[in-house]
Amino acid sequence: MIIVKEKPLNEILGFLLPYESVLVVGCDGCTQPPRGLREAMTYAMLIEMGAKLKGKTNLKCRATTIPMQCDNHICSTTLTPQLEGINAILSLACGVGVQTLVEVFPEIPVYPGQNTVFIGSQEREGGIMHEKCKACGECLLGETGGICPITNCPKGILNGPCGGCVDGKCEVPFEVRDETGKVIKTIAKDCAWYLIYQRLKKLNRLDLFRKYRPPRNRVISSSPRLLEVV
Amino acid sequence: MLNERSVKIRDEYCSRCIICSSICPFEAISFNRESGEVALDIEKCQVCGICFSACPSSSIEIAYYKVALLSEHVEKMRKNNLVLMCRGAIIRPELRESLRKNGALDDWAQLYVPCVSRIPPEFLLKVIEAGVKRILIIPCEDNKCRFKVGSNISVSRFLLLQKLLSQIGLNSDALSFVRSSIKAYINKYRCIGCGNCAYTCPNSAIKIMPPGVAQLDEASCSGCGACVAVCPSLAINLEGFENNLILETISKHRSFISEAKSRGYGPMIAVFYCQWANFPTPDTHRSYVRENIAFFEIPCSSMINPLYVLHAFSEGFDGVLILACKKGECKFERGNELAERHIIALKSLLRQVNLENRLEICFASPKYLGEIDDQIKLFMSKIHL
Repeated sequence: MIIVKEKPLNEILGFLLPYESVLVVGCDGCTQPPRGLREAMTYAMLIEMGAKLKGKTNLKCRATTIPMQCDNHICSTTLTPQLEGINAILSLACGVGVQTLVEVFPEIPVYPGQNTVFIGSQEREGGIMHEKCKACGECLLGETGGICPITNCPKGILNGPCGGCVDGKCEVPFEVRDETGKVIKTIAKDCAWYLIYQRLKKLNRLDLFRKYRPPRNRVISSSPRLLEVV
Repeated sequence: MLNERSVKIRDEYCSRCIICSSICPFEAISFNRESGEVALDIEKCQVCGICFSACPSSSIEIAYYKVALLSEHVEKMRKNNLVLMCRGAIIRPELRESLRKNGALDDWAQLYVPCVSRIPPEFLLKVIEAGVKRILIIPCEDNKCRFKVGSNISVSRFLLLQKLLSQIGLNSDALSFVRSSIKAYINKYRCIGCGNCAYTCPNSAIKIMPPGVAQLDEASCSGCGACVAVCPSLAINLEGFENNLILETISKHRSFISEAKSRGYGPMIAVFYCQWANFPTPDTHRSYVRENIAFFEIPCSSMINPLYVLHAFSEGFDGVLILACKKGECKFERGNELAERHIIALKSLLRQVNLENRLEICFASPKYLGEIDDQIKLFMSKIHL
């Protein structure tokens, strides 16, 4: 899932106050928390209310949703009929969705309604989101027992653990931050390579642990990237 | 200071038969063999009224839905048919259709009580005597009774009464019953397969099935609406409490708001109440108004979602109060906790537009008279326009 976090309403209002008719577009795709039709309607109403409180009474919002905002064909076919009289679009998708809308509708300003944070998963109980994948382009999980050292090790080392692994814990304090970047708390996280060792031992594949891995080919993961499908 | 209790046992009438003590689903009534005292522990009581209708000596008094009041209400309506239904029950379209065929649809009085088991048989006899030809009773499904045993007790009681009536020559048509409970239903074309409902459902009645669409097991659904509140794509609706219906009901209050404002009433309040936390008069159905307050019924506070609250604000209400059952008294285990979590999340959004104090959740129960009014008053005093 693409983990997203809603932007502060004041920031969104800052984008939208100059316009009169805004289309709030949800995305039924892979954003987590999901941003379907109801979320779009909720945002539409909140924006109208916020604008009214700021003295702008003629800002009207409409809400809609599409199956996938990252698909330019779906965007153009489903949204084109709904754009009559629309001055601006607020996208509730990840950054990909926002940019796709910009490409498909170059004449309409498109604004992001949320910050795209990382690729990860959500714990159901407690709602904590964990980063799981860095999209490095060279998946190692087959050699590391399904635990990603690129994401879970602060150094991203390929032949671990390093000397900072004490009693199975990482020496780098793991900082949990709020949306403004302020540290809420620090916790001691398990060393990724310690976990990998334990896992491979359980799988009886310590040969994989002992295998030497040469430095990654960083060209693969340097932006901008492009992939041609032959 | 505690408010007056709504359930009382009148000791002077009590014959110490202790039927009430043995029948109470919450073990709230105790009998002391030595002193002969029958005592009600109001903290355990959930005001279902099962004891009231079971008491042979009318020594239990409940402030809500008194028999005299109900029969007066039915007599006033002068109809040939009476439909007596539990709040957790629903008139399904097919039942409505058969009622229409019987000609009952334009000629019925409807009573809507928290549990049909609170209705004593003498009320039905009284109503038949007053001229009602047919009585249809709609209790909840067997294991869906919000008061554990209420539905079963009422069915066995009414079967007995049916037999008695047949002895005096009234056919079974005079008293019939259909069991039905409110259920959720899923629009699979709207479902995005996020799994929120499957995680939230207290009965595990929803599963995400391939190709990624939520599927409901109707038999296990208890109709609380917790899934409705977490569905981000409006794919789930509850029978009789459809999202559109609730939004429309809120919109219908526009004229009420402008009228009350012109009369100079204070802030306009919308109260969304759990149907088990507030017992309004029998002639109210799903929504009613009082002075500057509009009440909207929901099957459980866990069904509350940002859409209803924000819609109420945008239609002109100044404040929204959610009325949930007290801790430990939710009929669906932890619906009130879920509701509290939804409200905290929504408040953090509203804080950004400085409307945080316009939304509140409070916990009340019908067992103390006036408790709900106190909560509403407290909330109103916090709103500064």
